[in-house]
Amino acid sequence: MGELAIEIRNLLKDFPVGMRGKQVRALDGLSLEIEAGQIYGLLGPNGCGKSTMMKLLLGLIRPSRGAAHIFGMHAGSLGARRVLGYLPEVPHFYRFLTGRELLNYYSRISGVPRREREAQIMCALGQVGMESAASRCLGTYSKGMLQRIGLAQALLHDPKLLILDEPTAGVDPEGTDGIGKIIRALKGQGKTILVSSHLLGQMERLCDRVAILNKGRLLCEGSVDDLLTREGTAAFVANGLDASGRSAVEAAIEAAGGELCEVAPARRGLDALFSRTIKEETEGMS
Amino acid sequence: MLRLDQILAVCGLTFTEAVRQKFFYIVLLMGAGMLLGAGYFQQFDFGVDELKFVIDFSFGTLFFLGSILVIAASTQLFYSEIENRTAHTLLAKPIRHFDFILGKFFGVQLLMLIFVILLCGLMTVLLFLRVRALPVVEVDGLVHYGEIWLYGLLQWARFGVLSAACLLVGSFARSYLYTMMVSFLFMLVGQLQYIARESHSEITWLPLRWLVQVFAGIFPNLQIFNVGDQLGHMNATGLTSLIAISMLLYAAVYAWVYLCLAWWNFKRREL
Repeated sequence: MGELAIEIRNLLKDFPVGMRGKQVRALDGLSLEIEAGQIYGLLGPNGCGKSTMMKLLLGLIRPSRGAAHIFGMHAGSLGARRVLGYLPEVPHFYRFLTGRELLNYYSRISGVPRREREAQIMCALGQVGMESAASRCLGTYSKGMLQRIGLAQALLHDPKLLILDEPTAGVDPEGTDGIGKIIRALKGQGKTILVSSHLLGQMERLCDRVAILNKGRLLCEGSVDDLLTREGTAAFVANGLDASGRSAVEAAIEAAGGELCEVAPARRGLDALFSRTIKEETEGMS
Repeated sequence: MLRLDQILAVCGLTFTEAVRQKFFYIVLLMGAGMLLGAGYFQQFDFGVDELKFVIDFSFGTLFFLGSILVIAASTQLFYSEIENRTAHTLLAKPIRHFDFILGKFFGVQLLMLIFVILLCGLMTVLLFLRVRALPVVEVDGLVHYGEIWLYGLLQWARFGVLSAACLLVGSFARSYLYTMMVSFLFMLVGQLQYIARESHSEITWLPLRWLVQVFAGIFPNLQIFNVGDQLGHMNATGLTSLIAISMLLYAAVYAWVYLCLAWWNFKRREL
């Protein structure tokens, strides 16, 4: 096993609710290990504990029991916060600042040395494709642009780990696709990315490993390929077969001792259709 | 070096955010309007008595509007970071909670410094013009201009105590309104606290006496900053340097203690 980026041991988090101090359990004995250099997806319904887990890793809340470590450092410590970047689900920034001013502010907070600041800001803007809008006030940004500038602020101090809480929430499919490409590029730079999303199709294409949580408990965890491949089955996609051809294939499968489970027309995903249609339209206009 | 830069960054942004709000300009304009209007209260006596009135009225304006501004600004600029969740992205960065609190405090103090300088500057100009227009031969010494600025400095120190108290309240409050109300109440208690101090010596029942003593220690005696009568005008007795420095130290100690308590609370607060 390689270096562990995140190590969570028996994490439990209770939130007091109401005047009587009744406890609601958000995380229930969660244990997880995430290797460095991976894109790791957190899946689960609303309220399953994804954001709570991320907040615990950031030190914004404290565990009721258990512990979490980031690259061997206690989650929430200054050392741990130096090696991570965070994009919240709904990034709220100072609307009166321009994109560049915001990044300058966050680079100072992140401890980027003055002489490296400008280069780091330009690099982060370039990574998220926001150079042209950097001089505009954040108040004029679209949702997708806010997510991108939010991602840029997370990248400013060149962190080893990125924690992205639903980075594509409220973003159109094209923007979602763009953020997906940025995340893949970041993985290419050797960064570890912990990402949560409700867009299962995108997570399937993006993540190396995923974990599914529900009611604060880990239901399953593993590599995307391992979790989605049905043991002992294979899928063939054929084109131009007539009825006799299909019969011949079915007979061949039977003759080889196999069992034909399902015959269905091959479909592309709706997001793929959307992206292709928009791309064709854009290319047609240009 | 890094910590100082982080504190300055938070301070700078806090100040920028504050001066972009209309509220600051409204309070500033109100203050300027009241100072300009003070000279036109013709029912009061002319000459030296008029000057005393103008000085008292101007000091009152600085005290009153400054108190409103510092509580509103501290509450807004600190609590909005929690409410708008900008604190989430900020505190996920390697910044200490104490540095964040200090940055906020200095940002508000910078705002209040600008406010005090502008009002004291206007006060000085208006009094200078009024003195020149008076039908008296000897105008020197009618107004002690330096003491106007000393009053401004002492009020700025008092605003510092209030600002630190607001940050302390904001560190545990769950709503903006609650923070505002409790902060105003705090100011009121601080202003009236001298009553408790005076009655303390008359209490014979020891537990109650201790309780009053503890109470008097928790809240600063803001009444000591009401030195307007001793400053500015011809007959004012003035303040010795020792007293002025003692008052500044008194404010600094209370502000520091409140900032430490605010940090202690804020660090434990779950965002």
